[in-house]
Amino acid sequence: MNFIVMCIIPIFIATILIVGLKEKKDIFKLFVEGCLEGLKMVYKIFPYILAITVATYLLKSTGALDFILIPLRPLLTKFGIPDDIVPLCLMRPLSGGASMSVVMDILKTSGADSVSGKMAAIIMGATETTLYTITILFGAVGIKKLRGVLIAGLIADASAIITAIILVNIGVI
Amino acid sequence: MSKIWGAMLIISIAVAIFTGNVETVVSSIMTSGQNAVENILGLVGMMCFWNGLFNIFEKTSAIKTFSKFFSKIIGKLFNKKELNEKAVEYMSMNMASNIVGIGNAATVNGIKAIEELQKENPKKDEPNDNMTTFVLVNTASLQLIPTNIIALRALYGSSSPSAVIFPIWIVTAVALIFGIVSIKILNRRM
Repeated sequence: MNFIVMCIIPIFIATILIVGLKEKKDIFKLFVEGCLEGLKMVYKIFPYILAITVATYLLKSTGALDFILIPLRPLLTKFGIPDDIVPLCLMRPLSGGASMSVVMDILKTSGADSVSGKMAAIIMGATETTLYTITILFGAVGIKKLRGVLIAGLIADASAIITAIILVNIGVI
Repeated sequence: MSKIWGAMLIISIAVAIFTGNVETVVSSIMTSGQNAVENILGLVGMMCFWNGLFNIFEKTSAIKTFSKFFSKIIGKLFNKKELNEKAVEYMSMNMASNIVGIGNAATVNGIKAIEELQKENPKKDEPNDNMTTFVLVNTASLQLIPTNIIALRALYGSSSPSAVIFPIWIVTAVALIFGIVSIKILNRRM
């Protein structure tokens, strides 16, 4: 099972290259052009990373996070939710860049294979920046009434977070 | 976002002053600034690589084959009466791009699709059922291989970076089912 999962990415890469060559595309040029786009993306998200890294670091180092989590403490321990996951859950629907940097911070301080590291990776990978997506798509056609979209999107996010926490706690990963 | 970010900083500074360890504020800003740079530098290579690879994918016929599969699903999920052919085409391209992780292409096709859906929408300032459902599907992360997450896990020393793929699929599926059920119910009531 693990071997199959590990094969997915290399096979995927090889398939793309083979299809590209078969259709006589200039795959090297396309690759380099795409890389440049990637670099621009990094350039664009860096300010978010900096803003949120500073803020989350301050919350933790000053002890403010412990203070905020006091009322939630019984709930967190009961359901096996690590403290550092809470800021991620709050930020995930609002900002992709910000939540990405929270995930980085969790992986760095707690470790990629720790309980919170796994939860953070799954939550980040299985959800989208709900608010941003709604704004872009409805914004493009000038719609301001949202009807049920926001609520349904947040229900989906919440169910993703809960499922991720359960999966890690029962040891699926 | 401004309120949350502002609150994070202000609360931290207030707690620091209150508990008397004000020096931590300045030293934390310095350390975390360095951390932010290290984090992004670690990610640059992988992000560029995947973007380059997906740029090849986007220009081949594979993406079209992929999107044909989605046009069938669209027929089942959406109200066909308010759906024109172009809308179906853009919607399937949008979903196919999301699945393979070409964010830019997904956004472009998503916007074109919603413009087509808007043409069939009688009330211009209020989304119809197809539009709400389409936007909801876009707020779910359909990505098949979460490349950024795997890169991050590898960067921070995971023993098996791609082990999250399967759990991510399960969680995405659960979220999508909850989301679609909710929007179908809410579409009738709101």
